[in-house]
Amino acid sequence: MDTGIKVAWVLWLSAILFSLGALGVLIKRNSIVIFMSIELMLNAANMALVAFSRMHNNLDGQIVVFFTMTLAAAEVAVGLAIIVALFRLKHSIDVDQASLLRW
Amino acid sequence: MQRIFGWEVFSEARGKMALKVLFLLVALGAVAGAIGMLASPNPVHSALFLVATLFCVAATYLLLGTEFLAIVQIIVYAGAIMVLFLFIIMLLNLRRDEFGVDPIPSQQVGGIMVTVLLAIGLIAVIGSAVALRTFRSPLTLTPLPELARALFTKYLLAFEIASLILLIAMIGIVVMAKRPKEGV
Repeated sequence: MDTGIKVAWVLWLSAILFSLGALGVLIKRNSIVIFMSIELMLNAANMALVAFSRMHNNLDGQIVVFFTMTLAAAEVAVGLAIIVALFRLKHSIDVDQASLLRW
Repeated sequence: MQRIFGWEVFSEARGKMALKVLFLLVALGAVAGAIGMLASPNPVHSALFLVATLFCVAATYLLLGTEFLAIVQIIVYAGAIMVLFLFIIMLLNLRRDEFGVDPIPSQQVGGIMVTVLLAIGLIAVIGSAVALRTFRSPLTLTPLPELARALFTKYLLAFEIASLILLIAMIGIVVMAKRPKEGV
């Protein structure tokens, strides 16, 4: 008995979401939106892991996804704290303003 | 009477068709939300579009039969992480000129070209014979007790380290968010 959903479809969806996340990182200047794009890329990778885990009927992939979500929560909290600190310093969250280390 | 994911369906063909249509709708919703996030100039709208995408990803997890991850996805991502994003956006209360200037058009075109190449490359890699299999449906959803057992035996060390990382993140935020002392 199969569900009719092909593994490739889920992987394609994951690839498209990952590419859109990468696009956001490339073209956006607002650091909060860039950060959201990174979250989208993490989600796309999670989706591929879940698809492979279900394909092989192996639970390890799902546990990796669980840990990725835990770490994403920690990462978001730290990243947003960095953005708030950047805003205090520069009064802007434009990533082009954060050029102190450039040279 | 046939069963797909433990749901009784009248005919296998109809059940499969329903699942395919549901998956298509959810996938379109996820992509539309992601495009909306990139297209909207207001970060609050971007965040709300991303919430829609994350819900669609959770729905995909449900269609794949991993209901625990679907629930965790909604609670952690849509519930906690996006609320944190919206909270910070509202806390900073940015004026239009503090959002960041519009990207340079050439940068936008270059970014879109790189992204299209990336998507084509990824999709080409995926189009192998293995990935064209369909998901077999178990009679029940993913057994939660097995997941819990693996988490607390085989992955116990990773679980403890994850809790330590959350603690470190919490301390780090408090240190970073404190206002610096005067004259330092």
